[in-house]
Amino acid sequence: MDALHGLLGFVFNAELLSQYGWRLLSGVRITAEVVLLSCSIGFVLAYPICRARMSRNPLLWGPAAAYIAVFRGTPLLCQLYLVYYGAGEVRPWLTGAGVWWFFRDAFYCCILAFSLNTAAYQAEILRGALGSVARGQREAAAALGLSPYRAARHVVWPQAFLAALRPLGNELILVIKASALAAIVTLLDLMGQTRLIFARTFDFSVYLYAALIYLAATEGIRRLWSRMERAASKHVRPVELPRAAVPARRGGMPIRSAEYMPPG
Amino acid sequence: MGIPKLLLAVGLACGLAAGTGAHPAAAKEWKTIRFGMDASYAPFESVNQKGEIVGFEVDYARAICAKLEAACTFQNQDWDGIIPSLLSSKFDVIFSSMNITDARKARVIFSDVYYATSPVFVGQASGKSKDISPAALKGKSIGTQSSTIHANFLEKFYPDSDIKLYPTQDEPNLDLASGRLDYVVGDVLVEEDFVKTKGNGCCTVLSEIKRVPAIHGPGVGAAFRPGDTDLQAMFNKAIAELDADGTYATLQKKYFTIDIRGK
Repeated sequence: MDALHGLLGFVFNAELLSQYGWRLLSGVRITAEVVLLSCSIGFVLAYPICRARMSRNPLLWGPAAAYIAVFRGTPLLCQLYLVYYGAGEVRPWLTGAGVWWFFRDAFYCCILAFSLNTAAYQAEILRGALGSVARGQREAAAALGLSPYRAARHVVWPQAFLAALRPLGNELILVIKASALAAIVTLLDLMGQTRLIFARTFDFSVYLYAALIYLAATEGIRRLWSRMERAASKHVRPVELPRAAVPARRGGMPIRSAEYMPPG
Repeated sequence: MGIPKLLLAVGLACGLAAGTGAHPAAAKEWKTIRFGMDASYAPFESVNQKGEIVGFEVDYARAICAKLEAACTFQNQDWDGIIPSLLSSKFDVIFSSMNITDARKARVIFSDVYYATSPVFVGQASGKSKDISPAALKGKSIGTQSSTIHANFLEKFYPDSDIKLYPTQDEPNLDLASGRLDYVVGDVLVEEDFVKTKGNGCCTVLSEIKRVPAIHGPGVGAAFRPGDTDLQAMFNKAIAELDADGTYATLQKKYFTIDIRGK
C-alpha cells in the first residue's frame, strides 16, 4: 500500500505541477512552433527536391540525390551542431553576408537544421508516392486529352497524396521526437524546460510528465492521421452498403431466377 | 499498441527505474572507488588527446585513493545526469567541482570542502563597459552551464537578462567567442583557462562575483549516496591528511597560481 501511495505521489505531484506547470506549457508552445515551422518549410522544400531527384537530367538529380543522402545519412544532432556551432566559427563571413542575425539565434538555427533534415525525408516520401501511381494512369489521362497539369491535378496527385499521407504523418511524429534536441542548443522547448525543472527540483517525475506530453502529442497525431486517411480513401475501400440498398435479400430469399432475364 | 498495454509498458518502465535506484544497504569494503566526473571542465577535469580524463581533481582523487589504499576508476558523465547516475550506482563518488548546496544536500551527502573559488563574469574583449550590475546587463544574453550554482545565481539576480543554459561549460564559452553571447558566468579558473588557451583574444575576464552563501554554498565537496556515510568519513579523513602532509599544496601549485583551498 505504501509503495502504491509512493508511486501515486510520484505520478501526481501537485506541488511540482502548480509551481512549474506553466514552464512545461511554455515549453510545449516552443516545441509546437519548432515542429510546425520545420515541417511546413520542409514540405515546401521537399517537392522541388523530389522533382529534381526524379528528373533525368544528371545536373538536377545528382545534387538532389547527394542532398538526400547527406541529410538522411548523418545524425540530426550532428547537423544541428554544424549549423549552430559551425556558424559561430565562420561568424565574420556570415556578418559580411548580412545573415549573422539569423544564425545568432538558437531558434532560427533549429528551424534551419530541422527543416533541411525533414525536407530530405519528405522528398523521399513524395518520390515514393509519385512512383507508386501506376504508369497506366498517366497514359490513360493523356489518352483522354487531359493537359499535363490537369492529369497531375486530377489523376496523379490525388493517388500520390493517399500513398504519401501515412509516411508524412510518421515523419511529423519523428520530427516531434527529434525536436527535443533543440534543448541542447539552449532552446527552452518542452525538453529544455524539463531539464531546467529537473535541475531545480531533482524530481524525476518531471521527465515522466514530459514523456506523457510527447506521447499525447504523437498519439493525437496518429489518431488524426487515421481519420484523415479514412476520409481520403473512401473511394478505394470496399463499401458496406446500407441495408435499404440490398432489397434482394429481403425475407432471406435469394433472387428468383425468373426475374433474371439473360440478354438475347 | 492498445491503451491498456501502453499503460502496462509505462508502469513496467517506471518500476524498472525505481528498482535500479535501490542500493544494497550492506556495508562493503571499498577496494575500488569509482569516480564520476563531467570532463568538460579544464583544468579540473578534461579529456586529453589520448582519451584519458586528466586534471587537478583527477590527481587529487588519486592522492585520496592512495591514502585509502583503494583502486581508482574514472568515468565521464554528463553533468545534468550526474546525481541520478550516482544514486543509481553507476559510480560511487561525484568528484567534479560540485558546489555544496542545500538543494543537492536533499539528494546526496557531501565530504568537507576541498576547494572554493569565485565565479566570474567574462565579456567580449571589444566591450567597453566593465559594469556587470543587473541594471547594466538588462536585455543582454548571458550564458552558463545548466544545473549549476551559476545558473541559480543568474536566475535569481539577473531576471531581466536573457539567460542561456548549456549542457557543458565549454559550449557557452564557444558561443561567447562566436559573439552569440554577450557574457558568460563561470568559475574563475575555468574561464581564465578558456580565455588564455582557446579564446584567441575574443574575451576578457571582467570581475569576480562575491559568493552568495545561500546560492553558492561553502565550496566544492565530493558527493556520495546518502547511505555511504562510511565512505564520506574516509574521504574527510583523507582530505585532512592531504592538507597536513602538504600534498594538497604541491598538487595545486602544479595547476594554479592562486590558492584555491578556501580555508
